[in-house]
Amino acid sequence: MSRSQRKRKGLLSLALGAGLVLVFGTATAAEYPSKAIHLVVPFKAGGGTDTIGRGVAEALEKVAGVTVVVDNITGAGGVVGSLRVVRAKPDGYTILLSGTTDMTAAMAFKKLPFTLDDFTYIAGLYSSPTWILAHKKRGYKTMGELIAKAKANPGKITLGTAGPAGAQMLMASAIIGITGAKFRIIPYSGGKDLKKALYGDQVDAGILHAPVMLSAVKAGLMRVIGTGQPLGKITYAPVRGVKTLTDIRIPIEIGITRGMFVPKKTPKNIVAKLSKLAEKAGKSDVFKKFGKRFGFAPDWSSGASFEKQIRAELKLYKEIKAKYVGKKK
Amino acid sequence: MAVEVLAGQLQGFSNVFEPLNLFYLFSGTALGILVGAMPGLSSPMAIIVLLPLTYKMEPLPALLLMMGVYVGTKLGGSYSAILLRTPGTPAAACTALDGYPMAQRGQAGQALGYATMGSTVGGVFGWILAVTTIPFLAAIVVKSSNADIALIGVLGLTMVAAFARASMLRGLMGVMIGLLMATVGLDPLDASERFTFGNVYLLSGIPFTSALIGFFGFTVVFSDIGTIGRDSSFVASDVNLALPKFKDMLKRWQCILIGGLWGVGVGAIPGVGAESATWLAYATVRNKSKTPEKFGTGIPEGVLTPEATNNAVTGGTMVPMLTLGIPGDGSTAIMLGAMILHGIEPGVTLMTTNAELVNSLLAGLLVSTAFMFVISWKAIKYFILILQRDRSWLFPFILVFATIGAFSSMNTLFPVIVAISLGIFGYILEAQKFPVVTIVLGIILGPIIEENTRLALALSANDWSTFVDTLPRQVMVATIVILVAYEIYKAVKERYPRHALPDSSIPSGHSHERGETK
Amino acid sequence: MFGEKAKDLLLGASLLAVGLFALFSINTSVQIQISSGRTINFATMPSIWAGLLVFLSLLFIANALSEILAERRRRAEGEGEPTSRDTGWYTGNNRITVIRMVGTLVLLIAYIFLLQYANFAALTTIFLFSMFLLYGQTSLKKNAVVAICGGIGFYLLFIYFLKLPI
Repeated sequence: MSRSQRKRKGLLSLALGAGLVLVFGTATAAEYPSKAIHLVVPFKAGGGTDTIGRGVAEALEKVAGVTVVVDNITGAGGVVGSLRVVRAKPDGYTILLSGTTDMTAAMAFKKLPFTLDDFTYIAGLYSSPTWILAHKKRGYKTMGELIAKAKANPGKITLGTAGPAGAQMLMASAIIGITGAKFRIIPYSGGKDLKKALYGDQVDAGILHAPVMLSAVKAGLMRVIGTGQPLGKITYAPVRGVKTLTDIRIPIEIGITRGMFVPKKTPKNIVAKLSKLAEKAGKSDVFKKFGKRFGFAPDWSSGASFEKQIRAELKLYKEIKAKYVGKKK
Repeated sequence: MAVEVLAGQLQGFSNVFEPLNLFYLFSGTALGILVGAMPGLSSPMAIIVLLPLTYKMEPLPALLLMMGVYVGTKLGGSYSAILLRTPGTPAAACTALDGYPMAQRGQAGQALGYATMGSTVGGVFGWILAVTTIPFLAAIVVKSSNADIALIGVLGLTMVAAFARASMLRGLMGVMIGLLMATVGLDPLDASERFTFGNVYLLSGIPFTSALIGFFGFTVVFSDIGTIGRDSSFVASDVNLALPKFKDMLKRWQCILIGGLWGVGVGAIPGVGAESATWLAYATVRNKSKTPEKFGTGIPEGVLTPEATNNAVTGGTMVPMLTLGIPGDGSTAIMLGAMILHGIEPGVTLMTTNAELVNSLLAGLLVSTAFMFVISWKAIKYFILILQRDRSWLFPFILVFATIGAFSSMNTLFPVIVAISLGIFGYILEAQKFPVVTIVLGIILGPIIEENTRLALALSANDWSTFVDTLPRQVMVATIVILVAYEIYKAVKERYPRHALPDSSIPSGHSHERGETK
Repeated sequence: MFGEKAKDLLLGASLLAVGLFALFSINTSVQIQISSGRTINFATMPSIWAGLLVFLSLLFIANALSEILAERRRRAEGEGEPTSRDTGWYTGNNRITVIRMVGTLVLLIAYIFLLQYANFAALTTIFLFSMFLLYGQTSLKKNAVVAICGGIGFYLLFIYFLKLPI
């Protein structure tokens, strides 16, 4: 039948076309960076990491001279996107932008399909501590007051966290474990749910990554009663002096640093070039301006110190998890 | 107070009417309608792409551009929902229920007309509510707690009967499947893994976009492959936009009111999820109607209600976005991020430090809705032209759109595989008369109910009475009880007159089965 | 005698199986319970839904069975067979439809699989072209033109404008 003959011709030309396509698929190598860089943000568009990522992309684009595209590869609390970069071609064109605690907290709770050894660290770009907020109606001025109240009323004082298995949960558990104050932890599923609860005065206090809700703090609606790390770099001066947990004898430091990661096998010269670019971007005026809008002055740290920081953090979180968090079944 | 609001709005409008702003607003709206009409593409996707392009712009035009897209997609989605049975946007999925049957009967023009008018009126209604109530709606919204949201979720579930069509039993089973599917992934409160079988991708559950694209995209294509070849174009060739007359709209004021209220309400309370608004409104209107069985067969109310609702949602989401800096859906989340990137600080202080921006954005919402109407009126014939092609041409395109659309939700292949599998699953179910819609409802409502119930209990230290603590909650619980009782009553009543077979060992609930003939 | 009711039965049984499976395999790896499991824990809701699904599936199966029996009785009494819906799992009437359905699936799966290796625009063009053929468009030239336009169009849209990392 002529129809099946034609079909066969069609299939043949298809096969030919496919062959040509596969042959011409490869890209050519050149001076780095010579084509668009893909910055992978393993979270949804519009969130904290994404916004920072876009700020970084803008700054990086200016110093690198090539387009920097943000790819939101979401899933499993950042694991899917991170995994994608681990497995990507190590040519310096696929970079992960993620936060330290996003990885380390997840690793403290479960085994991930990658480890810290799967990355080469380029730079830390934006740090912010984790802070504790309370609605002004509750009347707490300091963390000390909150803890005292909790000790006096076990099981009645509520502490909200912005996620059931993240840095905030670790902080909450550690506080409970070290002080012996029996808070009731309310694990909201995300930052915006905790935000709403705080606005609605539904919890006594909430643990969030700074500078979320900074505007509420400025308006006097929320009080910063404690923080995991010093708030010296925050743009809003009045809260710079808030006592850290370490100050009140809870010796843990919790904060999040967003930085750039590339796959382990990326060649050294590309790593060096990228690190220089990252440093320039991190210190650039564009990024400083972004930092001012977002709430914190940016804080560039080299790849090496970023790596040290994240490894120390993992160790700390594993300790906290083992000592203070729930029981394994 | 009213004078202030008025003055503020006038200021906002005068800002919006500057030529550059108008241009961006208009382009955004047009782009939104276009994007909305393409299955698989959604508003957040378009907005996030525009974001880098706006860096060089002033904040207001940038946000107006995004807002235009946001509003436009709400109407655009209904085009493909009505003409292709595949919603272009999640918000339009409900419109297909009655929109497509109308198109099949040659009433596509009217369906599109009702969609256009509904979207416009709904948008205006949402705008009015938002502007007048923003000051104290914010306070109410913030007071809403997890117990309230959980009850809304359960309320939505009881209304599932509206979608069960002929067979209650199948509808319920569909809901159960959906609820089960929603539990895949990490437990929201203690991060335990559920149904993940060690797969990294399943950790975040079954992607909602995949479910939507799978059940409303792939299933439709698979189901209709059999109709290719014989009279294969979707709708008759002379379709023209037929705007409903004023009195036709007036007759259906309840649809608009209910749709508008649900839209603004759901949009304003973050955590309920703007996706559920259209379904809730549709179910409410159906339950109140004197002829509920007509819903789903192709009546204007079935198109008017969801379209009014999804545009009212745009007004609703403005409330938490502008007063608290909390997004109501994906698009507003990106807009908030855009604000930060443009140097604006969203949050409680926005209304006081930047009232002008707030007013301008609100004004922009109204103007965008007006643009949407005009563009739809004038340009719809081009859409119709394209969407009227023979199925053998359109289906492959739809498949590509669906595939890439699913891909873009997570930027990996996983959601595509899920979407196709669900498409096959949905096809099998639809062939056996299971309303796949109920599965989607289960997926939407499941997390809302579970998460909020457990959080409410956590907040109240396991005290179940928290669900009847306040008047609104008591009202909701009472409504739920009444609705459930009514459904059971209806089911039992139907069983007895038609009880032809002496098989009384099977309890009621599926008596619809026996009543219907195949 | 693979009538509609038998298909119902099969489907009901499958769903029952799914429900039972779900009941027993909620969590297969180690779980950490942070919120101490008082009344409701992570397994509560899934168990409820799965349990209800099992229950409803049983009802459904019972109902399907009873209708099959009723149908047999009716046929024995001389009434005709009820008409089945046109689109079924396999439509005995229309072989082409089946070919098309299978073909669509095969092409789709091949398409998304090959996307990881080959160029998007070219692959999409080939996909579109093959699909047109599958659906009965015989003019090779017309198919090629539309497919190429489509491929380019999609490329512009998804890669150039949306910058999707395909």
